[in-house]
Amino acid sequence: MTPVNALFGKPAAIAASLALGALFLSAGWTTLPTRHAAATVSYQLATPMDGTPAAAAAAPAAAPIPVPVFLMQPDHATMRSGTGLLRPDGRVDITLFDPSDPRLIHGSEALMFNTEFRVLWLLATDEERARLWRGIEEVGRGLRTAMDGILESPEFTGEYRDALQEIGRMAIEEAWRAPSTRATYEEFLRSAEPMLHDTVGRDLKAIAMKQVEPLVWNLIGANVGMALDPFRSQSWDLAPVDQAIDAILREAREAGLVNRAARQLADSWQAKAFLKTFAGNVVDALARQQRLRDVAGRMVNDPRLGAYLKPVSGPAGDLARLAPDLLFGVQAGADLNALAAHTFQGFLTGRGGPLIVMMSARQREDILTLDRYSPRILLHAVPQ
Amino acid sequence: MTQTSHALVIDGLTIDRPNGQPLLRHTSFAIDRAEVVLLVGPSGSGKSTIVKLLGGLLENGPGEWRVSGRLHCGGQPMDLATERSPVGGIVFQDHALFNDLSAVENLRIAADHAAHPPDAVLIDGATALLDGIEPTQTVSSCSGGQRQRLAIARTLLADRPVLLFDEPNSGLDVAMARRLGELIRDLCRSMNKPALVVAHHVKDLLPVADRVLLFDTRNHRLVEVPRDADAIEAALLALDDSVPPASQPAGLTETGLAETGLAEAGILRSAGKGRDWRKEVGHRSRFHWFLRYLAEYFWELCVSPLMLIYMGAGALIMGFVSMWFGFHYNSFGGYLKSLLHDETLVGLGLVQGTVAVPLISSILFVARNNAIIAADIGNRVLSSQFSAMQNLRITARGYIFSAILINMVVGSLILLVVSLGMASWASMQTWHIQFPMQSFELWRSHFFRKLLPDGLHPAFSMVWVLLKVALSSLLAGGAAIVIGCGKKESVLEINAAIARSIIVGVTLTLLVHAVISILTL
Repeated sequence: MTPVNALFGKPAAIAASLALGALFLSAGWTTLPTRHAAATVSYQLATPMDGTPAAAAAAPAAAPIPVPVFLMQPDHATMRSGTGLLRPDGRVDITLFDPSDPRLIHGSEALMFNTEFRVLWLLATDEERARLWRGIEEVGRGLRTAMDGILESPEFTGEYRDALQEIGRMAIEEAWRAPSTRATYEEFLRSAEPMLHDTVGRDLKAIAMKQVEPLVWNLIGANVGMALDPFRSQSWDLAPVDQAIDAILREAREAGLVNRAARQLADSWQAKAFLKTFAGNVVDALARQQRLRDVAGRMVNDPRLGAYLKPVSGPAGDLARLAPDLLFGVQAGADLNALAAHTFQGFLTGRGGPLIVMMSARQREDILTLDRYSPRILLHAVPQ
Repeated sequence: MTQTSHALVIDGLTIDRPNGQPLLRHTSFAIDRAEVVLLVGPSGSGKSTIVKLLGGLLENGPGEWRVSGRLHCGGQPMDLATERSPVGGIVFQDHALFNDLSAVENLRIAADHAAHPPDAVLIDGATALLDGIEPTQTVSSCSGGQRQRLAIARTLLADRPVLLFDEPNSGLDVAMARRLGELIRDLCRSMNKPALVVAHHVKDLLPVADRVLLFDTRNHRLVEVPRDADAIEAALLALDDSVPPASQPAGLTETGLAETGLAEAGILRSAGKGRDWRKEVGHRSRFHWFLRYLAEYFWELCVSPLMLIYMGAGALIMGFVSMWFGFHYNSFGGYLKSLLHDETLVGLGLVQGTVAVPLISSILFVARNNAIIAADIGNRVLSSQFSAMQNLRITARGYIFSAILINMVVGSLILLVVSLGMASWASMQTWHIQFPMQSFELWRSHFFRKLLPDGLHPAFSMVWVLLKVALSSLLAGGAAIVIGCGKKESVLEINAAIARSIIVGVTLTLLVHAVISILTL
């Protein structure tokens, strides 16, 4: 007999059981996800901006897709605040978790992003971005110092430079001799000939012809005395020819003839095929070089060279600590960085998709100042 | 031996013990209508075996008791070697009342399972014994004398041709024992039924006995002795092992068909004051009794307040612990907690909903209920309640065992739902303590992502959860019944059975959960 039974009898025990059961089940019921909640607020995607890649990537899919909605607070801390439904016509119906949340007063405007780490950068505060830039610049400076130190070090010049140059030369020669390189080079030359012929025949001929008539008269004037001297012992004065060539070259340069021809050559698919083949063969040749592996291995393991990396190790370590802390960490006064969690999950699963961040008008302008292309502006729409 | 004039005739009865030792050899005796016969003998001589035989409770067959002989009752012959005797209604030494039923329910269940529904005269006669007992009174609240009268009334309602009393005066003082003897004699006369009373202390009952039979353990016979206390005592002393075997004790003669007249019907009319017991007893179907036991065990095994608190507390702790320790770390400066938050919630929800809560719920449920079942069944065995049920033609398996097993399955599933609800609530609140700035809906959307993929319908994996919970409870309940039904001769054996039942039940539960969880990974 239970104490309830003993104290109050069976009816009281049954009532107690019913109350407990109802209490437990109602507690469980409150944990179930809210279903079929009406949209709280609606937005419409602004017209895509001039077909930029970002706009194209964010174009709405054929079927409505659920989109997570975040709220950016004045201190730039983000919290998940609802779920949106992106419809094929660009309309976004947002169901807020708690429409009465006073923090939503800071979320009158909205931008839609693709789920990528760049969002975290855009949504960081100016101070955070400045700190990150300083860290990156420190790393860059340290890297330059380190590389200069290594390249100028007696250890490198004495033991590695000649060997690396020799390896590079051998690789280039081997790549140049490769049949595929030769074949693409021949093809490139064959394609270049008509292009040069066309340039010379049309543009250069016109410039040259303009200089031919003055050249004739200049040659006559310069050599007329010697032409009449039967005891002439001096050679002909050909200076006007040099002057005419200089004039032709100057005019061709001023007309951009060389650049145009070079660009035309470089733009041809034959040139690209040649360069790709050649570069690939160089890399292949380097990869086949056992000497390169040996030298690189010795460099990496050379404690004397490691000492020159000291200028970069400190800044790199600082940046490695700072960047995750600023971008993925929990801001002061917040308890969760929901946007970082969502972004990280999208990165890991490869299923990012769009996300919406609600913010103040000022924050929206700040972000658009940083990047006018990747965020898509959401305009207020009338709820249906 | 004239058979038609006697209420009961036993002819050529031979009983061998399971170990092959003889108990009785070619014994015959008869009891007339309304006759009260005392059966006396040394302790352990086998008096109760005669009662069990006549009550249909003696297990005979290979490895058990071996019985031969014939029984005649009401003109119906019976071969005791092949048939169980249906003639005796037993009043057990410890009463064997069903202590989960009220006083009137003890009568009802006997009346509803009698071969023929008892008529008003029989009900009035039986309930006339119940003066001072309230119909709704619990058995535990009855005094020793009230229990004895209740047990007798119950046996009377079973309407067997012969009343069998197994040591009815055991533990009673002289005055109570004499009053009991008078009650038995009056009953026999009023009901016109014979009574065989097994007694170790005969003095108090001799005045009401018409004849006395002595269990002669030397010659394995029943012999009639004079209704004289000194002669009986002398005969019992003579049967003591220290006394060498001699000729039959003085005054003993082979029992025969004593000439006893039919008692005048004089039904007691001192029924409980102001109580219409006949109406209270009434008649109910067997389905009513099935539902009665189903409801009783549903209450005890599933929904009693303590059970709900116990299961709710377990789920509450489970929900708190998993969520608190799932998040309560500060690795890598805290941002890892933030980064992994969503997936951590999804994982915790999946593990909690499909593994942790079902397992802890099953273990708590099985541990508590196996103890109850083993104790309940063990107590019924020890207090001869199952024997009484069998004697009253009540199918214990149909009512009790099926009610237990059905409730183990249904209750485990109901309490699984309750536990899941409580654990989820505790998890949600614990999460909110750690992330007070976040909306509950964020927790909901992640925690149930794998359990309720569309937010409404459970995932198919929950079928396996239901299966392992139901199967483990069914197996554990079955084990508790088997363990509880084992032979019990003391409370210590019940305690041992409880411990064994918990261990076996929890082990089976762990195994079932482990196997199904692995198979459905």
